[in-house]
Amino acid sequence: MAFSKWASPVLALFGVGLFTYSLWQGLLVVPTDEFQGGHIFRALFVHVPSAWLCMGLYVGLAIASFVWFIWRHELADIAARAIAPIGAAYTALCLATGSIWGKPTWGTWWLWDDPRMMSVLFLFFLFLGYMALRAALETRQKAARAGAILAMVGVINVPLIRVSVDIWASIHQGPSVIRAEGPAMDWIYLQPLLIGFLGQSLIVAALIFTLMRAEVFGQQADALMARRLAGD
Amino acid sequence: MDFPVDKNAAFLYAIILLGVALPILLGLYVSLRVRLSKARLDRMRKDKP
Repeated sequence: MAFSKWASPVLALFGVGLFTYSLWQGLLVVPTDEFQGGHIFRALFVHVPSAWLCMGLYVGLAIASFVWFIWRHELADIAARAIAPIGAAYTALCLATGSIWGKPTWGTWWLWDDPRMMSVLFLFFLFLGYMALRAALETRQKAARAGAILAMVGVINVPLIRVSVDIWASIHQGPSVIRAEGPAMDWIYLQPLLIGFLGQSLIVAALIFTLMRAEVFGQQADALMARRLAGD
Repeated sequence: MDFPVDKNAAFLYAIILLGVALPILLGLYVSLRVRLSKARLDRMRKDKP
């Protein structure tokens, strides 16, 4: 709690600085890539970090759920509860920006038979399902157990998103950064992209730490209420 | 340095706007959540039966 109180603003400050630098480089400095359809390729400095983050956040949710499930570590459950809404929001951002980018590039907002789009949409529903399931169960223990099982089972979707463009026919381009043969992207684009991803990751970490504080306060208030109702 | 403008500029700036707006909105949401939770806890501690 004390750590997150001072860490959140520091992380957010560094994150905003790095993200701003990445957007400045992406919008105004790096040269246009006519092969990628002109200036619209600059959308990658928002879309790609959001895609990496939503997958990373789901893996974080699954790890936190696993830790709670095995060791019943209360902080892991609090972390899982904090990760879920942030993950859902970044998955929605990934879907929205991908759809907007798709219209001028592919001529369509959405394809229902595209494996990459559908697997990311499924990820979005997993985040929503996790939150809905937890909200539907009456006790914190039951909610944590059911949520943890859903999060751990659902993590299989993350590698499927990664390989979907390789093993199924997809309109989406293949991986261009994390590849066995090295990045296909020129360093002039890769450097601001990676810096932007780091910046957004720091912002997300700050958001999660702050939400964890809110969850801890909420849990303490609930415990106080329960003690009073029990006449303690 | 000029802002990039071509026939797809509206799509590009919509994406940038969403990318900038989301962390700001999430920042407002989490700060509101932490303030409300803290206020509830403080109120309950103050109102001892």
